[in-house]
Amino acid sequence: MMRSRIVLLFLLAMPAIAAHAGDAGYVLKAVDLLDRPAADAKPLSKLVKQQPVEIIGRNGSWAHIRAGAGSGWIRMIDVRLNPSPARKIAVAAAKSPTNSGIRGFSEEELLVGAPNQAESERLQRVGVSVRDAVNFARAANLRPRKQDYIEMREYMPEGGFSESFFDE
Amino acid sequence: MSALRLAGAAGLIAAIVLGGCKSGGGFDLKNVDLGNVVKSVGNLREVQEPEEIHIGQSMTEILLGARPLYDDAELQHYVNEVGLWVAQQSERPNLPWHFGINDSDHINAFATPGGYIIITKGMMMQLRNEAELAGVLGHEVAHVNQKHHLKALRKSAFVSLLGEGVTAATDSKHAELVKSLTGPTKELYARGLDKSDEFEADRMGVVLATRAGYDPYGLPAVLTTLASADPKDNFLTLLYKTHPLPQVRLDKLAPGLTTLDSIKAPQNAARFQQYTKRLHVATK
Repeated sequence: MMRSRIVLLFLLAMPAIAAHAGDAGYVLKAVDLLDRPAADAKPLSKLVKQQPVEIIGRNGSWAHIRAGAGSGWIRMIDVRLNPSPARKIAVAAAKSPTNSGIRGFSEEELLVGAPNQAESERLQRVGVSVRDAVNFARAANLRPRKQDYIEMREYMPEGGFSESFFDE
Repeated sequence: MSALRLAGAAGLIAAIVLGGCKSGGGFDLKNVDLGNVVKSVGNLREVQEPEEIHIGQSMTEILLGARPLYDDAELQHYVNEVGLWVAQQSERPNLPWHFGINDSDHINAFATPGGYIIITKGMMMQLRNEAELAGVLGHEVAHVNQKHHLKALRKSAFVSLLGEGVTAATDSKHAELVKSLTGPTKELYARGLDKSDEFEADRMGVVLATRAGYDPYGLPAVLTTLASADPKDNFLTLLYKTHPLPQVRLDKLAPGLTTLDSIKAPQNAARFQQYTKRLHVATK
Protein backbone atom coordinates (compact mmCIF):
# COMPACT_ATOMS: atom_id res chain seq x y z
CA MET A 1 0.00 0.00 0.00
CA MET A 2 2.70 2.42 1.08
CA ARG A 3 4.84 1.45 -1.88
CA SER A 4 2.08 1.96 -4.41
CA ARG A 5 1.37 5.29 -2.76
CA ILE A 6 4.97 6.37 -3.25
CA VAL A 7 4.90 5.32 -6.90
CA LEU A 8 1.62 7.17 -7.36
CA LEU A 9 2.99 10.32 -5.76
CA PHE A 10 6.04 10.12 -7.98
CA LEU A 11 3.79 10.00 -11.02
CA LEU A 12 1.80 12.93 -9.70
CA ALA A 13 4.94 15.00 -9.53
CA MET A 14 5.81 14.52 -13.19
CA PRO A 15 5.70 17.72 -15.19
CA ALA A 16 4.74 18.03 -18.83
CA ILE A 17 1.24 16.64 -18.49
CA ALA A 18 -0.82 17.71 -21.45
CA ALA A 19 -2.78 20.73 -20.35
CA HIS A 20 -4.80 21.63 -23.38
CA ALA A 21 -4.63 18.43 -25.39
CA GLY A 22 -6.64 18.74 -28.57
CA ASP A 23 -7.70 22.34 -28.03
CA ALA A 24 -7.86 24.54 -31.10
CA GLY A 25 -6.26 27.96 -31.02
CA TYR A 26 -4.21 30.47 -32.95
CA VAL A 27 -0.84 32.21 -32.65
CA LEU A 28 -0.85 35.81 -31.46
CA LYS A 29 2.10 36.98 -33.58
CA ALA A 30 4.58 35.71 -36.15
CA VAL A 31 6.86 33.18 -34.42
CA ASP A 32 9.22 30.32 -35.25
CA LEU A 33 7.96 26.79 -34.75
CA LEU A 34 10.79 25.10 -32.83
CA ASP A 35 11.90 21.48 -32.71
CA ARG A 36 12.03 21.36 -28.90
CA PRO A 37 10.85 23.46 -25.93
CA ALA A 38 13.92 25.68 -25.54
CA ALA A 39 14.95 29.16 -26.62
CA ASP A 40 18.00 27.82 -28.50
CA ALA A 41 16.00 25.14 -30.33
CA LYS A 42 16.13 24.75 -34.10
CA PRO A 43 13.40 26.58 -36.06
CA LEU A 44 11.33 24.18 -38.17
CA SER A 45 9.12 26.71 -39.91
CA LYS A 46 7.58 30.13 -39.51
CA LEU A 47 4.06 30.66 -38.23
CA VAL A 48 2.14 33.77 -39.22
CA LYS A 49 0.02 35.95 -36.96
CA GLN A 50 -3.45 34.44 -36.37
CA GLN A 51 -2.40 31.09 -37.84
CA PRO A 52 -4.70 28.32 -36.56
CA VAL A 53 -2.99 25.61 -34.50
CA GLU A 54 -3.94 22.61 -32.41
CA ILE A 55 -2.47 22.44 -28.94
CA ILE A 56 -1.18 18.94 -28.24
CA GLY A 57 0.38 19.53 -24.85
CA ARG A 58 2.49 21.74 -22.68
CA ASN A 59 5.89 21.63 -21.04
CA GLY A 60 6.54 24.44 -18.60
CA SER A 61 6.24 27.68 -20.52
CA TRP A 62 6.11 25.91 -23.87
CA ALA A 63 3.13 24.73 -25.86
CA HIS A 64 3.42 21.68 -28.09
CA ILE A 65 1.35 22.45 -31.16
CA ARG A 66 0.34 21.05 -34.50
CA ALA A 67 0.18 23.53 -37.35
CA GLY A 68 -0.89 22.14 -40.69
CA ALA A 69 1.19 19.04 -41.40
CA GLY A 70 3.96 19.84 -38.93
CA SER A 71 4.27 19.95 -35.19
CA GLY A 72 6.68 21.63 -32.80
CA TRP A 73 6.99 24.04 -29.91
CA ILE A 74 6.23 27.72 -29.34
CA ARG A 75 5.94 29.81 -26.18
CA MET A 76 2.64 29.20 -24.43
CA ILE A 77 2.13 32.91 -24.04
CA ASP A 78 2.08 33.28 -27.85
CA VAL A 79 -0.96 31.00 -28.24
CA ARG A 80 -4.61 31.74 -27.53
CA LEU A 81 -7.43 29.21 -27.47
CA ASN A 82 -10.37 29.72 -29.80
CA PRO A 83 -13.67 30.69 -28.24
CA SER A 84 -15.28 27.30 -27.90
CA PRO A 85 -18.95 26.47 -27.40
CA ALA A 86 -17.75 22.98 -26.44
CA ARG A 87 -16.19 24.47 -23.34
CA LYS A 88 -19.38 26.25 -22.53
CA ILE A 89 -19.45 26.39 -18.82
CA ALA A 90 -23.18 26.24 -18.47
CA VAL A 91 -23.18 22.55 -19.39
CA ALA A 92 -21.83 21.27 -16.10
CA ALA A 93 -23.83 23.63 -13.99
CA ALA A 94 -27.18 22.98 -15.60
CA LYS A 95 -26.92 19.35 -14.48
CA SER A 96 -26.85 20.06 -10.80
CA PRO A 97 -27.53 16.93 -8.69
CA THR A 98 -30.64 18.23 -7.00
CA ASN A 99 -32.09 19.80 -10.13
CA SER A 100 -32.59 22.89 -8.07
CA GLY A 101 -31.24 25.01 -10.88
CA ILE A 102 -28.13 27.11 -11.06
CA ARG A 103 -26.27 27.85 -7.86
CA GLY A 104 -25.10 31.33 -8.55
CA PHE A 105 -22.72 33.87 -7.20
CA SER A 106 -23.99 36.59 -9.47
CA GLU A 107 -24.14 40.27 -8.68
CA GLU A 108 -27.86 39.89 -7.90
CA GLU A 109 -27.24 37.06 -5.46
CA LEU A 110 -24.40 38.98 -3.89
CA LEU A 111 -26.62 41.99 -3.35
CA VAL A 112 -29.63 40.17 -1.87
CA GLY A 113 -27.76 37.69 0.36
CA ALA A 114 -28.04 38.12 4.14
CA PRO A 115 -24.84 37.66 6.22
CA ASN A 116 -24.37 34.02 7.21
CA GLN A 117 -22.51 33.73 10.52
CA ALA A 118 -22.93 29.94 10.72
CA GLU A 119 -21.10 29.45 7.41
CA SER A 120 -18.38 31.87 8.46
CA GLU A 121 -17.84 29.82 11.63
CA ARG A 122 -17.77 26.65 9.54
CA LEU A 123 -15.01 28.16 7.44
CA GLN A 124 -13.03 28.91 10.63
CA ARG A 125 -13.03 25.21 11.44
CA VAL A 126 -11.66 23.86 8.14
CA GLY A 127 -8.15 25.28 8.37
CA VAL A 128 -5.06 23.05 8.46
CA SER A 129 -1.81 23.46 10.39
CA VAL A 130 1.40 24.63 8.77
CA ARG A 131 2.86 21.21 9.58
CA ASP A 132 0.03 19.59 7.57
CA ALA A 133 0.72 21.89 4.65
CA VAL A 134 4.46 21.19 4.71
CA ASN A 135 3.91 17.43 4.80
CA PHE A 136 1.35 17.73 2.04
CA ALA A 137 3.86 19.60 -0.15
CA ARG A 138 6.64 17.15 0.66
CA ALA A 139 4.44 14.19 -0.27
CA ALA A 140 4.08 15.56 -3.79
CA ASN A 141 7.75 16.45 -4.10
CA LEU A 142 7.06 20.17 -4.18
CA ARG A 143 10.37 21.88 -3.56
CA PRO A 144 10.13 25.48 -2.36
CA ARG A 145 12.38 27.82 -4.31
CA LYS A 146 13.61 31.36 -3.82
CA GLN A 147 12.06 33.61 -6.41
CA ASP A 148 11.84 37.41 -6.44
CA TYR A 149 8.58 39.03 -7.42
CA ILE A 150 8.45 39.94 -11.08
CA GLU A 151 8.48 43.61 -11.98
CA MET A 152 5.77 45.25 -13.98
CA ARG A 153 6.98 45.54 -17.54
CA GLU A 154 5.07 46.77 -20.51
CA TYR A 155 5.14 45.27 -23.95
CA MET A 156 7.52 46.97 -26.36
CA PRO A 157 5.97 47.17 -29.83
CA GLU A 158 7.89 45.16 -32.43
CA GLY A 159 10.66 47.38 -33.71
CA GLY A 160 10.37 49.65 -30.68
CA PHE A 161 8.38 52.84 -30.28
CA SER A 162 8.29 55.14 -33.31
CA GLU A 163 9.46 58.73 -32.91
CA SER A 164 5.97 60.02 -33.62
CA PHE A 165 4.76 58.10 -30.56
CA PHE A 166 6.69 60.45 -28.32
CA ASP A 167 5.59 63.58 -30.20
CA GLU A 168 1.93 62.96 -29.47
CA MET B 1 -20.64 32.91 21.14
CA SER B 2 -19.54 29.36 21.78
CA ALA B 3 -16.80 28.14 24.06
CA LEU B 4 -15.28 26.43 21.03
CA ARG B 5 -14.78 29.73 19.27
CA LEU B 6 -13.27 31.26 22.38
CA ALA B 7 -10.82 28.39 22.69
CA GLY B 8 -9.89 28.73 19.04
CA ALA B 9 -9.37 32.45 19.45
CA ALA B 10 -7.08 31.95 22.41
CA GLY B 11 -4.94 29.64 20.30
CA LEU B 12 -4.84 32.09 17.45
CA ILE B 13 -3.88 35.06 19.59
CA ALA B 14 -1.14 32.95 21.16
CA ALA B 15 0.10 32.07 17.68
CA ILE B 16 0.24 35.71 16.67
CA VAL B 17 1.88 36.88 19.89
CA LEU B 18 4.46 34.12 19.88
CA GLY B 19 5.04 34.45 16.18
CA GLY B 20 4.36 30.73 16.01
CA CYS B 21 3.23 28.87 12.93
CA LYS B 22 -0.08 27.45 14.07
CA SER B 23 -2.80 28.32 11.65
CA GLY B 24 -6.39 27.34 11.20
CA GLY B 25 -7.63 28.45 14.62
CA GLY B 26 -10.85 30.34 14.99
CA PHE B 27 -10.93 34.03 15.60
CA ASP B 28 -13.08 35.68 18.17
CA LEU B 29 -14.15 39.27 18.15
CA LYS B 30 -14.22 39.41 21.94
CA ASN B 31 -10.46 39.88 21.79
CA VAL B 32 -10.73 42.87 19.53
CA ASP B 33 -11.62 46.39 20.53
CA LEU B 34 -14.32 47.22 18.04
CA GLY B 35 -14.01 50.88 18.87
CA ASN B 36 -10.47 50.69 17.60
CA VAL B 37 -11.57 48.96 14.42
CA VAL B 38 -13.94 51.78 13.68
CA LYS B 39 -11.54 54.54 14.67
CA SER B 40 -8.59 53.10 12.84
CA VAL B 41 -10.48 52.87 9.57
CA GLY B 42 -12.14 56.23 10.13
CA ASN B 43 -8.90 57.97 11.02
CA LEU B 44 -6.99 56.22 8.27
CA ARG B 45 -4.38 55.06 10.74
CA GLU B 46 -2.70 51.75 10.04
CA VAL B 47 -5.23 49.01 10.82
CA GLN B 48 -3.75 46.55 13.29
CA GLU B 49 -3.66 42.92 12.27
CA PRO B 50 -6.30 41.61 14.74
CA GLU B 51 -8.64 44.35 13.50
CA GLU B 52 -7.90 43.48 9.90
CA ILE B 53 -8.73 39.83 10.61
CA HIS B 54 -11.99 40.81 12.27
CA ILE B 55 -12.99 43.01 9.35
CA GLY B 56 -12.19 40.14 6.96
CA GLN B 57 -14.15 37.68 9.06
CA SER B 58 -17.18 39.98 8.97
CA MET B 59 -16.87 40.48 5.22
CA THR B 60 -16.61 36.72 4.69
CA GLU B 61 -19.82 36.30 6.67
CA ILE B 62 -21.48 38.72 4.25
CA LEU B 63 -20.09 37.03 1.10
CA LEU B 64 -21.02 33.54 2.32
CA GLY B 65 -24.55 34.91 2.60
CA ALA B 66 -24.72 34.91 -1.20
CA ARG B 67 -23.68 31.25 -1.43
CA PRO B 68 -22.78 28.86 1.43
CA LEU B 69 -19.76 26.53 1.46
CA TYR B 70 -19.76 23.42 -0.71
CA ASP B 71 -20.51 20.37 1.39
CA ASP B 72 -17.40 18.21 1.00
CA ALA B 73 -15.05 18.23 3.99
CA GLU B 74 -12.25 16.32 2.24
CA LEU B 75 -12.18 18.69 -0.71
CA GLN B 76 -12.26 21.71 1.62
CA HIS B 77 -9.30 20.20 3.50
CA TYR B 78 -7.39 19.70 0.24
CA VAL B 79 -7.89 23.32 -0.83
CA ASN B 80 -6.66 24.44 2.60
CA GLU B 81 -3.50 22.35 2.24
CA VAL B 82 -2.67 23.81 -1.17
CA GLY B 83 -3.69 27.31 -0.07
CA LEU B 84 -1.78 27.37 3.20
CA TRP B 85 1.33 26.00 1.50
CA VAL B 86 1.13 28.82 -1.06
CA ALA B 87 0.39 31.40 1.67
CA GLN B 88 3.52 30.26 3.54
CA GLN B 89 5.51 31.70 0.61
CA SER B 90 3.99 35.16 1.15
CA GLU B 91 5.24 37.92 3.45
CA ARG B 92 2.38 37.17 5.88
CA PRO B 93 2.67 33.42 6.59
CA ASN B 94 1.34 33.68 10.16
CA LEU B 95 -2.12 35.04 9.36
CA PRO B 96 -4.94 32.62 10.27
CA TRP B 97 -5.41 31.59 6.62
CA HIS B 98 -8.71 29.91 5.76
CA PHE B 99 -9.63 28.62 2.32
CA GLY B 100 -13.06 27.46 1.26
CA ILE B 101 -15.00 26.34 -1.82
CA ASN B 102 -18.46 27.85 -2.05
CA ASP B 103 -21.39 26.05 -3.62
CA SER B 104 -21.61 28.19 -6.72
CA ASP B 105 -21.57 27.20 -10.37
CA HIS B 106 -20.20 30.60 -11.27
CA ILE B 107 -16.50 31.03 -12.01
CA ASN B 108 -14.82 33.26 -9.47
CA ALA B 109 -12.53 33.47 -6.46
CA PHE B 110 -12.15 36.20 -3.87
CA ALA B 111 -10.31 37.17 -0.74
CA THR B 112 -11.15 39.28 2.29
CA PRO B 113 -8.65 40.97 4.63
CA GLY B 114 -6.82 38.89 7.19
CA GLY B 115 -6.52 35.71 5.13
CA TYR B 116 -9.99 34.48 4.13
CA ILE B 117 -10.16 33.06 0.61
CA ILE B 118 -13.12 31.56 -1.23
CA ILE B 119 -13.03 29.82 -4.59
CA THR B 120 -16.25 28.83 -6.33
CA LYS B 121 -17.02 25.23 -7.20
CA GLY B 122 -17.46 26.46 -10.79
CA MET B 123 -13.87 27.72 -10.82
CA MET B 124 -12.60 24.44 -9.33
CA MET B 125 -14.24 22.60 -12.23
CA GLN B 126 -12.41 24.74 -14.78
CA LEU B 127 -8.99 23.83 -13.37
CA ARG B 128 -6.86 21.00 -14.71
CA ASN B 129 -4.19 20.55 -12.07
CA GLU B 130 -2.85 21.66 -8.71
CA ALA B 131 -0.46 24.20 -10.25
CA GLU B 132 -3.49 26.01 -11.69
CA LEU B 133 -5.23 25.91 -8.29
CA ALA B 134 -2.04 27.20 -6.63
CA GLY B 135 -1.92 30.04 -9.17
CA VAL B 136 -5.52 31.09 -8.50
CA LEU B 137 -5.05 30.87 -4.71
CA GLY B 138 -1.72 32.69 -5.08
CA HIS B 139 -3.54 35.56 -6.80
CA GLU B 140 -5.96 35.78 -3.85
CA VAL B 141 -3.18 35.44 -1.25
CA ALA B 142 -1.48 38.38 -2.99
CA HIS B 143 -4.62 40.52 -2.49
CA VAL B 144 -4.42 39.80 1.26
CA ASN B 145 -0.66 40.28 1.34
CA GLN B 146 -1.03 43.72 -0.25
CA LYS B 147 -4.18 44.63 1.73
CA HIS B 148 -5.95 45.58 -1.51
CA HIS B 149 -9.49 45.25 -0.15
CA LEU B 150 -8.68 47.05 3.08
CA LYS B 151 -7.27 49.98 1.11
CA ALA B 152 -10.31 49.98 -1.19
CA LEU B 153 -12.65 50.03 1.82
CA ARG B 154 -10.91 53.07 3.19
CA LYS B 155 -11.68 54.88 -0.04
CA SER B 156 -15.33 53.80 -0.01
CA ALA B 157 -18.33 54.87 2.00
CA PHE B 158 -17.31 52.52 4.82
CA VAL B 159 -15.86 55.37 6.85
CA SER B 160 -18.99 57.48 6.89
CA LEU B 161 -21.24 54.51 7.53
CA LEU B 162 -19.56 53.62 10.78
CA GLY B 163 -20.76 55.46 13.81
CA GLU B 164 -18.70 56.38 16.83
CA GLY B 165 -20.79 54.28 19.20
CA VAL B 166 -19.01 50.94 18.81
CA THR B 167 -16.71 50.62 21.79
CA ALA B 168 -17.36 47.32 23.55
CA ALA B 169 -16.79 44.00 21.79
CA THR B 170 -19.96 42.02 22.23
CA ASP B 171 -22.17 39.91 20.01
CA SER B 172 -24.44 42.84 19.38
CA LYS B 173 -21.47 45.04 18.49
CA HIS B 174 -20.22 42.35 16.09
CA ALA B 175 -23.64 42.37 14.48
CA GLU B 176 -23.36 46.14 14.25
CA LEU B 177 -20.00 45.89 12.49
CA VAL B 178 -21.34 43.29 10.05
CA LYS B 179 -24.31 45.55 9.41
CA SER B 180 -22.04 48.54 8.78
CA LEU B 181 -19.84 46.52 6.45
CA THR B 182 -22.66 44.87 4.49
CA GLY B 183 -23.34 47.66 2.01
CA PRO B 184 -19.69 48.59 1.35
CA THR B 185 -18.67 44.91 1.07
CA LYS B 186 -21.37 44.08 -1.45
CA GLU B 187 -20.57 47.23 -3.36
CA LEU B 188 -16.84 46.48 -3.41
CA TYR B 189 -17.20 42.85 -4.55
CA ALA B 190 -19.75 43.79 -7.20
CA ARG B 191 -17.54 46.60 -8.52
CA GLY B 192 -14.09 45.04 -8.08
CA LEU B 193 -10.70 46.42 -7.16
CA ASP B 194 -8.57 48.80 -9.18
CA LYS B 195 -7.22 47.12 -12.30
CA SER B 196 -3.67 47.82 -11.15
CA ASP B 197 -4.36 45.73 -8.00
CA GLU B 198 -5.49 42.82 -10.17
CA PHE B 199 -2.40 43.01 -12.37
CA GLU B 200 -0.21 43.12 -9.26
CA ALA B 201 -2.02 40.11 -7.77
CA ASP B 202 -1.40 38.22 -11.04
CA ARG B 203 2.33 38.96 -10.97
CA MET B 204 2.62 38.05 -7.27
CA GLY B 205 0.34 35.03 -7.53
CA VAL B 206 2.52 33.49 -10.22
CA VAL B 207 5.59 33.97 -8.04
CA LEU B 208 3.93 32.60 -4.87
CA ALA B 209 2.96 29.41 -6.73
CA THR B 210 6.49 29.22 -8.14
CA ARG B 211 8.03 29.64 -4.66
CA ALA B 212 5.75 26.82 -3.47
CA GLY B 213 7.42 24.57 -6.02
CA TYR B 214 4.72 24.52 -8.68
CA ASP B 215 4.92 25.04 -12.42
CA PRO B 216 4.83 28.87 -12.74
CA TYR B 217 2.40 28.66 -15.64
CA GLY B 218 -0.62 27.55 -13.60
CA LEU B 219 -2.25 30.97 -13.39
CA PRO B 220 -1.46 31.87 -17.03
CA ALA B 221 -3.03 28.54 -18.06
CA VAL B 222 -6.21 29.43 -16.14
CA LEU B 223 -6.29 32.85 -17.78
CA THR B 224 -5.86 31.16 -21.17
CA THR B 225 -8.87 28.96 -20.40
CA LEU B 226 -10.93 31.97 -19.32
CA ALA B 227 -9.85 33.94 -22.39
CA SER B 228 -11.34 31.22 -24.59
CA ALA B 229 -14.72 31.20 -22.84
CA ASP B 230 -17.69 33.06 -24.23
CA PRO B 231 -17.57 36.47 -22.49
CA LYS B 232 -21.35 36.56 -22.52
CA ASP B 233 -21.49 33.36 -20.49
CA ASN B 234 -23.61 34.07 -17.41
CA PHE B 235 -21.20 32.12 -15.26
CA LEU B 236 -18.47 34.63 -15.95
CA THR B 237 -20.43 37.85 -15.72
CA LEU B 238 -19.28 38.92 -12.26
CA LEU B 239 -15.67 37.85 -12.85
CA TYR B 240 -15.59 39.82 -16.11
CA LYS B 241 -17.21 42.84 -14.48
CA THR B 242 -14.79 42.92 -11.56
CA HIS B 243 -11.53 42.02 -13.33
CA PRO B 244 -9.72 43.18 -16.46
CA LEU B 245 -10.32 40.82 -19.41
CA PRO B 246 -8.23 37.63 -19.16
CA GLN B 247 -6.61 38.47 -22.53
CA VAL B 248 -5.44 41.80 -21.13
CA ARG B 249 -4.20 40.15 -17.93
CA LEU B 250 -2.19 37.66 -19.99
CA ASP B 251 -0.69 40.47 -22.06
CA LYS B 252 0.31 42.36 -18.90
CA LEU B 253 1.76 39.24 -17.32
CA ALA B 254 3.66 37.96 -20.35
CA PRO B 255 6.81 40.15 -20.23
CA GLY B 256 7.54 39.29 -16.58
CA LEU B 257 6.91 35.58 -17.14
CA THR B 258 9.99 35.23 -19.31
CA THR B 259 12.16 35.37 -16.16
CA LEU B 260 10.49 32.12 -15.02
CA ASP B 261 10.87 30.33 -18.35
CA SER B 262 13.68 28.03 -17.30
CA ILE B 263 11.83 26.63 -14.28
CA LYS B 264 10.65 23.06 -14.60
CA ALA B 265 8.31 22.16 -11.79
CA PRO B 266 5.34 19.83 -11.25
CA GLN B 267 1.70 20.52 -12.07
CA ASN B 268 0.34 17.66 -9.95
CA ALA B 269 -2.51 16.87 -12.29
CA ALA B 270 -3.21 13.39 -10.92
CA ARG B 271 -3.52 14.45 -7.27
CA PHE B 272 -5.77 17.35 -8.27
CA GLN B 273 -8.00 15.15 -10.40
CA GLN B 274 -8.18 12.52 -7.70
CA TYR B 275 -9.63 15.07 -5.28
CA THR B 276 -11.88 16.88 -7.75
CA LYS B 277 -13.27 14.01 -9.85
CA ARG B 278 -16.32 13.69 -7.63
CA LEU B 279 -17.16 17.32 -8.34
CA HIS B 280 -17.59 16.35 -11.96
CA VAL B 281 -19.49 13.17 -11.07
CA ALA B 282 -21.80 15.13 -8.79
CA THR B 283 -22.84 17.45 -11.58
CA LYS B 284 -23.44 14.81 -14.26
